[in-house]
Amino acid sequence: MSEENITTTINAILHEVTDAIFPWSYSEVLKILGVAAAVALTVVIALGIRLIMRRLVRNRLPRHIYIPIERLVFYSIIAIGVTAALSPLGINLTGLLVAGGVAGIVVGFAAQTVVANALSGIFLHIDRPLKLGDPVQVENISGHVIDISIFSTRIKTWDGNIVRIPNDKLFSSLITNYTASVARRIEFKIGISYSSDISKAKEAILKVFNDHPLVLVNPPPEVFVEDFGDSAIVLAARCWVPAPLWFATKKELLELIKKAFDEVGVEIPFPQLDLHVKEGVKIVIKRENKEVAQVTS
Amino acid sequence: MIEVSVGGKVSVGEAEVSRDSERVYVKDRYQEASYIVSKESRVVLKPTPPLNVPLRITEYLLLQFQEPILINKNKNMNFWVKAPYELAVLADDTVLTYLTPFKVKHTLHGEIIGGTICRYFLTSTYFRRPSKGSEALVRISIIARNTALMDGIVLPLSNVKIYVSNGRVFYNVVRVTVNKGVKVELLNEAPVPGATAIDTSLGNVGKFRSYSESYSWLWGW
Repeated sequence: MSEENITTTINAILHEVTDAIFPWSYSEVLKILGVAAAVALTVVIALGIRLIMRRLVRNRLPRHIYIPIERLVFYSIIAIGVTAALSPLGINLTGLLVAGGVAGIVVGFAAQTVVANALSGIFLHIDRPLKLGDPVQVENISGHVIDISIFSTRIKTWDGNIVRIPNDKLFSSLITNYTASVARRIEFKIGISYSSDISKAKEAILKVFNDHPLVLVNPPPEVFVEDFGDSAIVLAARCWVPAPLWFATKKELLELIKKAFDEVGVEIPFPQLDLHVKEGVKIVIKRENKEVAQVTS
Repeated sequence: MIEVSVGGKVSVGEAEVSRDSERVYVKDRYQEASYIVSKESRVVLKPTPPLNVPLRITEYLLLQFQEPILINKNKNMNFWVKAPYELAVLADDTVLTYLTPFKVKHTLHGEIIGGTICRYFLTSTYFRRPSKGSEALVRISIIARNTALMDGIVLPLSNVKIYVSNGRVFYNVVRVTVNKGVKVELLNEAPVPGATAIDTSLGNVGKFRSYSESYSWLWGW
C-alpha cells in the first residue's frame, strides 16, 4: 500500500469517527445553541415576572389565592417560551397545544361552576366588598364573614350557624357591609300617648342621646313627629354611632329612653279603640247571681 | 401621680377612688367597681391620654372651639385650650382600670365613609394660661401660612405625652400649620418650664401600638 493510500484511509476513518462522535453540522450546532439560549431566556423572563409578582401582588392577595396564580403565570410562560424555542429544531408542539386546548375546553365545560367560583373568588379579592370579620348581609343571610376561600365564602350567622355561599353566587348578590362606613345611623319609632307632652318627650330622648358616650355629636341626633297614629303620636328619633358598636348602643338606648319617659311622665300607649254607642243599650249588672241593677246607656 | 392610702379617698372631677384595708373602690360616670388589693400594695392614679373610657374605639381627639378663631396669613399665634384626660388606677404598677373625670362624647370628623371617629371635647380658647378647672391644658402654636377660620383641631392621641406641673395636667405642645389644609403635630416639648413628664407606658396593660404623631386634613372636612 502506497503512502498516499494510507493517508486517504486514515482520513476516511477519522471522518467516520468524528461523524459518529459529533454528528451535527456547524449550522445545526448554532441552532441548538440558539434554542438553549432561548429556553434560558424564557426561564429568566419567567423568574423575573415571578419576582415582580411577589413584590407587587403577593401582599395584596391572600396566600391561597396568590400561589395558584403565580404558578399558572410561571408555567404558562415556560410552556409558551419552550414551545417557541424548539420550533427551529423542527419539533412542533402545536399539535400538543391544540390537544391541550381542546382538553381544556372539555374540562372547562365540565368544571364550569368550579371555574366560575374560582374566578369570582379572585374578583372578590380584587373588589373587596367584604373582609374577614366584617358584619355583612348577603341577600337574606346576615352575620360575620369567617372565611373567604377560592371557591366559597363562609358566614357565621348571628345565631351561630355557618352558611357556605359559592363565590359566583356571592359575587352577583346584593352585599351590605355594615362596617364599610365608620358610622351608622340608629332610628327608633316611638309612640307616645296623645295626652303626653311632645316637647317633654323630645327633650327626654335628646338628653338620652346627649348623655350617651357613643352617640356622636356630629352628625347631630334629631327627634321629630313623624306620624299621628291610631293610638299614638309617632316620634322618629335618629342618631349616629360608631359602626362596630351599632347593635350594642341601640340596645342600651331603647332602655334608657323608656326610663327617661318614666321619669318625665311621658306615656307609651298600648293600641286602643274608642267605641261610641249611638243608641241606648241595656247593661245588666249581676251580683251573687241576682239581678240588682239595670243601666241604660 | 396621686397615691391612695388605706382609708383614703381621692376625687378628681367625676372620678372617685377610695380604699380600705382589703379593697379599692373606683367610680366614675360610666362604671363602679371594686378590686381586692392587699394593704401593702401601692395604689396610685396616673393621668393618661383619654383613650380607654368607656371603650378604646379611637386614637384621635377633636377639640371643638366654642368660638371659631380667625387665623391671619403670616401672623403666627399661640393660645391655650382645655382637654380631657383619664386616670389609670394602678396597684403595684398593674393597671386595675381607667377612670374619666369628665363626660365622654365622640364625634365624626369627615365623611361617613372614610372619616374618622374622634373623642370629642368642647373647649374655650385662652390667650393666657387658665388657672381654673380640672381639665388638662394644651398649648397650641399656630403657624399661619394661609388665612382660615378655625373651629377646632384633631389631635392624634396615641402618642400624646402627659406632663404634670403644680398638680395641673398638660399635654405636650401642639403645632398647627395652616396652609391649604391643616397639619397638627405633637412636639416633643414641655408646655411649661419644669413640668414633669409622666410615663404612659403602663405596666402590663395599655401599651400603645400606634405611633401617629400628626394628623392632617383639608378645609371643608
